[in-house]
Amino acid sequence: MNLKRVLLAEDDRDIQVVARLALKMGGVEKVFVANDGQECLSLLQEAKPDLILLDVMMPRLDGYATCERLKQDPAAAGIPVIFLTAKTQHSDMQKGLAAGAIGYLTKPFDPTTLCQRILSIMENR
Amino acid sequence: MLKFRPHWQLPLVAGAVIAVNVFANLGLFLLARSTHGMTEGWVLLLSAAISTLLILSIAAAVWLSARVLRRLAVGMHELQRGAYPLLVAPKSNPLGEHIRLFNQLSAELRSREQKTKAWAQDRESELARTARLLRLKHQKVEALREMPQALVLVDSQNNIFAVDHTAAELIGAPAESLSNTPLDQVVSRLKQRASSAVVFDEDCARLRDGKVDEIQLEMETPREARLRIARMRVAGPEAPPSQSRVAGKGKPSNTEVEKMKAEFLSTISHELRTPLTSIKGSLSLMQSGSSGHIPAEARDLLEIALGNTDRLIATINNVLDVAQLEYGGVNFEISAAPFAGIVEEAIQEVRPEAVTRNARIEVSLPDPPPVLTVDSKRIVQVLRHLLSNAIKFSSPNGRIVLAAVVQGGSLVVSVQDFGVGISSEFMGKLFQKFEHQQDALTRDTQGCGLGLAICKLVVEAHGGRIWVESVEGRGSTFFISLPTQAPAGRTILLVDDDDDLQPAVAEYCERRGFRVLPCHNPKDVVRLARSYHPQIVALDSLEPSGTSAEICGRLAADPATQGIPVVCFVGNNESAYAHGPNLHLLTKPLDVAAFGGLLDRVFANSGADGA
Repeated sequence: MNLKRVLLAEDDRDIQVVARLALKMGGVEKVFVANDGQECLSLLQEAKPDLILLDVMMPRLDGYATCERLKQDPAAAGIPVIFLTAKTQHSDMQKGLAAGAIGYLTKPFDPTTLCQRILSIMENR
Repeated sequence: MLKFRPHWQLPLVAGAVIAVNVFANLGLFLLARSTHGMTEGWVLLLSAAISTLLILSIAAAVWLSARVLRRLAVGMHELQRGAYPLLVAPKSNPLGEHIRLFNQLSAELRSREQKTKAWAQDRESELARTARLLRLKHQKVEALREMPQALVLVDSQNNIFAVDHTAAELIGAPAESLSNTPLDQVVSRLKQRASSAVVFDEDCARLRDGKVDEIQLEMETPREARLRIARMRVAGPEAPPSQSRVAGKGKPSNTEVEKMKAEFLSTISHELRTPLTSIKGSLSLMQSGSSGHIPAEARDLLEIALGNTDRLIATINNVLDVAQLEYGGVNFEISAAPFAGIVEEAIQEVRPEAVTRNARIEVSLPDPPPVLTVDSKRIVQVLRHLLSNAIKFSSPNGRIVLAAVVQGGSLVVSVQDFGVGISSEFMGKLFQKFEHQQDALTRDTQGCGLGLAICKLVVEAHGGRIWVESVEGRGSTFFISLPTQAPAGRTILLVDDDDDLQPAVAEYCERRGFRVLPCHNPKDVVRLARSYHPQIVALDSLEPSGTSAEICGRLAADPATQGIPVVCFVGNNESAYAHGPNLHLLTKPLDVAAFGGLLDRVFANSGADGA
């Protein structure tokens, strides 16, 4: 399972730091950080990610809409998307999966096991 | 009216004086020539005398005129100062006429000023009156806010559906006696009792004709009050639930309130979790050594911080969970789930705690283990909590027994420990929110006291029950009953929010061979009916008033439940219900024989296997 380049879309600066460190600790070589969905779409070409981690509530373009646009783009549709969000209701999860994500992780997350959980989702899809 | 008459006497007098002088001197001259006896000296003397007389007359006339003019000047000056003087007019002086004219002018001006002053005073008092009225109106508005508000609800037939205590007082009749009374009758009664003439008819006609859904009347009967008469709308099969309930300006409907609650909970959940993610993440990363070596003391402190962060996260999760369960905002994923799998998962989740306290969990399940129709994750949550409590309140190396037996259409699960037990005073509030018993062994009070409240809400949302038996010092046994997959044609969903009727009705139904699916939270009725497809839904009168009628409307509107016969135990508000072929009303106090007969008829009609 290849998890060397990850594109993280997250608007909270503190969580960006924690998640970046957690991913690096888990063996990810390069973490690209976007502040919102729009920036995530713009960074796509440069990042060429193996995985996209998306927050849901972000300015300009939220996670659900970003995921839908990614899945509509033939060049990006094959990149697995996992939500990493504080929206924990079952209906939120269903909405995320309906948008085309392969998994849904909730905050607060344990940074020491984040990569394991991501890999587990990727293996089981 | 002031008239100015130009004076003609002065020039006449002056002309006459000059003419007399001329004629006198001419006469003297002619006399002197004709008489020859008169000397020139006499003539000159006479002439001088006449001229002197004339000059003196003119001087006197000028002096008199100057006096009058001076008086007029003084009068004008005083007039300018705002006094209105009346001057003395000399009778003999020809200029006295001007003084009289001045006096007339002065009097006219005085009268006009008085009129102006009177007009100004009138305006002033009018202004003061307006200001007073405005103040009174303002006070009235303020008073209205304070004024007791009375509410009368009418149904679609313009009959009284409900009145509150204040309205009953205004109408002058007990609230119960007014049910189903025509609105017109109540209005005439109000008119009789109103001490002031109040015009009700127009407003009432608009309400009666359906032009408005609500009117407000201010009236004085023995007491002053504002009366609100509103039409109660009950959702029927033709009306979706979102259009149901009381119409009120600016008042959100129940659906809107629920939506607002859901949005609020979602937002608060997000706002609490976001900073906790950074806190927990940073602490975990430090603890894992990602930022370098941590000295032993700092490691202890980090552990305390992390432990309490986890505790805070658990509390937030529980608080949000309770809130969502209470208002019915949880979407349960009901599906067929083998009970053995549920037990295994719950034990797996508490294994670390069990290992820590060296607790032994024994499991005894019926053979074959039943299959439940439940949200398995939620039932795992309940069992995990009961097992966790059992471990926590047992001595180290303790024994925990998880057993299950099938009784009728239910699976009764028990979690037994042999620990400290529950004090008698705590037993009553065990399932209440934010109540927890201190662990007698560890003095540990961890937990916010929501676990058992959540268990109760989850179990009841599945149509089950939870209860406990305990002996202090010897241990406790928690029981939950959950419906197993229903045998066809014999299930009744029995809805009662205050256990008013449920025990007696449930026992009666079970004696007649029905399986009873209890429901305590009105929010769960439609979901349970959709999940378990009972053959009958039996509803007690639920609080607040109108809830039962609303539920009937929702059951009738939902394609998945509209075929289910509904039996309602009603007070005296039958008119609130939208009558339909599947709705059966039974008036309270409940006549058990009538209920039994109704059950037989309903089952016979639906072709089900009745008792």
